[in-house]
Amino acid sequence: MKLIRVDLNTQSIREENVPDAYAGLGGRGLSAVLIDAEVPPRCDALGPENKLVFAPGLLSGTSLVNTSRISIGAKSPLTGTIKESNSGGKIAACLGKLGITAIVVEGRAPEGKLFVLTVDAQGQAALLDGATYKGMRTYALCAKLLGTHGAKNTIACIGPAGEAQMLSASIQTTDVDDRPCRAAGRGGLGAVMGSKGLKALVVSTEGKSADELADPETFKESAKVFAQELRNNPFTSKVLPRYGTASTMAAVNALGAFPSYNATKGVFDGWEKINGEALAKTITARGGQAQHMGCAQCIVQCSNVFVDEKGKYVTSSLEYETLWSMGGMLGIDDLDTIARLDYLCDDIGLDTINTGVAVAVAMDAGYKPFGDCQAAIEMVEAVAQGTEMGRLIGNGPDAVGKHFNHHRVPTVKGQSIAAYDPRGMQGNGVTYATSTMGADHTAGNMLGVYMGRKLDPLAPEGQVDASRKVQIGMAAMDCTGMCILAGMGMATPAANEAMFKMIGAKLGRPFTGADYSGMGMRVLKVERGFNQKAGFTSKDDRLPRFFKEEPLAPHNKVFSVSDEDLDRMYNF
Amino acid sequence: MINVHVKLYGSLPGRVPGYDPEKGLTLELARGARVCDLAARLGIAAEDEMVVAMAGRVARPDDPIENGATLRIFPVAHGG
Repeated sequence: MKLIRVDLNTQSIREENVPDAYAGLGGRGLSAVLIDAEVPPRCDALGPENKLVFAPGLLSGTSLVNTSRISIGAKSPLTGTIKESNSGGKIAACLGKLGITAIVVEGRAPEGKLFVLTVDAQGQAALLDGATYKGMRTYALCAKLLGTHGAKNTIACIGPAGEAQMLSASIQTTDVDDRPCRAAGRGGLGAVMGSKGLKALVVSTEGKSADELADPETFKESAKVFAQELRNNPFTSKVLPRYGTASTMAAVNALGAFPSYNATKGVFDGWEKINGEALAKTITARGGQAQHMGCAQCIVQCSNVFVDEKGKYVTSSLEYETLWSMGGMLGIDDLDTIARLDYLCDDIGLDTINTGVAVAVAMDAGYKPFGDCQAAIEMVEAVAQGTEMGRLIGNGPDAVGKHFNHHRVPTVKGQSIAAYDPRGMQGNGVTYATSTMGADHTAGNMLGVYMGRKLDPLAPEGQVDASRKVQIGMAAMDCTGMCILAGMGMATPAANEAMFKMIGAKLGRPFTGADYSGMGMRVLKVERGFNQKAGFTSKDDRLPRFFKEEPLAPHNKVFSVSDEDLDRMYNF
Repeated sequence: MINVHVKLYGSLPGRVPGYDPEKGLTLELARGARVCDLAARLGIAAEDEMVVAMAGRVARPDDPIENGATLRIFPVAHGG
């Protein structure tokens, strides 16, 4: 249980025991509480006062399956709010196995200086000169770093977009095959890392000093129960391994809530060419991997490896949200183009969601026609080149909208929505509007609620209460290190009970469902409090005007949850 | 009798010999048929956790099916 603090001002490193104020926290919860306590809310997110937190989940590094999610947090330069963006791969499990609760990156390196932070198998951190890596894209960077430091390491890094401090810059993490194809994409945290002068974090995969569990036997038994529940669940044991997250495309198009052509239609004409079934068929026929383990200790295996017609690697993993942002939003129904765009984003270090939507806004404004594959590739490639258009795309949809004076910009607090239109799924609109993170589907996706017919997705009634419940649950899960997809396995009472027992067995005290909800509420309150101190009010918890004025086909509905109702979100 | 158009996703196409994913199926059902009747006809059980969508909405098992309706049947989804 230690924090590693890295000060780029002085290039010094300090270890400390986790302070009492942060004890019992992990992942998003730890990041939120630390940032709230230590970062001035009104500071420049790209200045030295901001701090970048790498926090594995509370259960990362344990034997529990699917717990290798790392929460990366800071004040976001994109949204101006507090931010947590999490990523898979191996790094969360590896930090957990080193007994590291968090790495906190502080200050700012002297101008022009670039560093690499390493953590060895004993958990000792070192800051190395990284000048040789300046300007490198992530795939080449990671190959070089692993060549230098050894294959038994895993990496979190930035590409050219992060170095240039662009607002859609991601932090990429390496997957089990050592490719930098997992991303903490949202919120421009790659720009924060770039502003600090930190190019990469290299962590040993050989750690053997995980925190001791207070009750290892209970943990072990409960972990078995949880894993079995995941194996029994049709979604996590059959749908995700076969079709990946792209399996979601049928549902959202069938509901008429798939924002297409920059959110002007709710069904994408070509969705059956890029859905989970088409993706799996194409990959399998070419000799790629339709089922793939992307993250450490994953038994779901929703990842894939997309290859070209000659069987050569293109990208991993092609996910639902990217198939939307680079597909439906751009009017592109060609898997090869979407895969190329996904690879480019990972390699340059860009959020595929914000970047795809930025391109969509440019196309909608008339810069290029929808469906122009080559134009989309050139616009994303331009980010790495640092051209004027590239800087617009790299800074996200708001920057593009302002440049073209175009009104239809689907963002909240500067961050783009994801692949669920608020007019077809009103509760997702509530989440986008009220989340402490700006528009973020992972903060509280309502699709499962609608699949279960628990609520009418088109009616305003009940959406705020339902979104609140889901947002609290997601905030709690983001503390654990559990992948949200595997977290769907918590649908059963047995899995729920197992999760609560494991947290209790880790912390050494009884832990109930009420404690779990309490953890989620605490996180949201801390995040909300930070945002208020940063100057945000409930008037910022609104969707762009066009969602309330422009009906979306096929249901021809607008977003109709009232402002008064939205303002009830934080009544807890 | 009524005619309905059915599109299948996930593992369901594999259960229908000769299923064409582009065209889907055209089935004849008794007038007054409900969604559960269609599911039974296709051999879909509750434990399959499939979702039926009709007219842009998630259908209930006892929803009546109108002549000429298009139904999409897909695995339950929770997002990406």
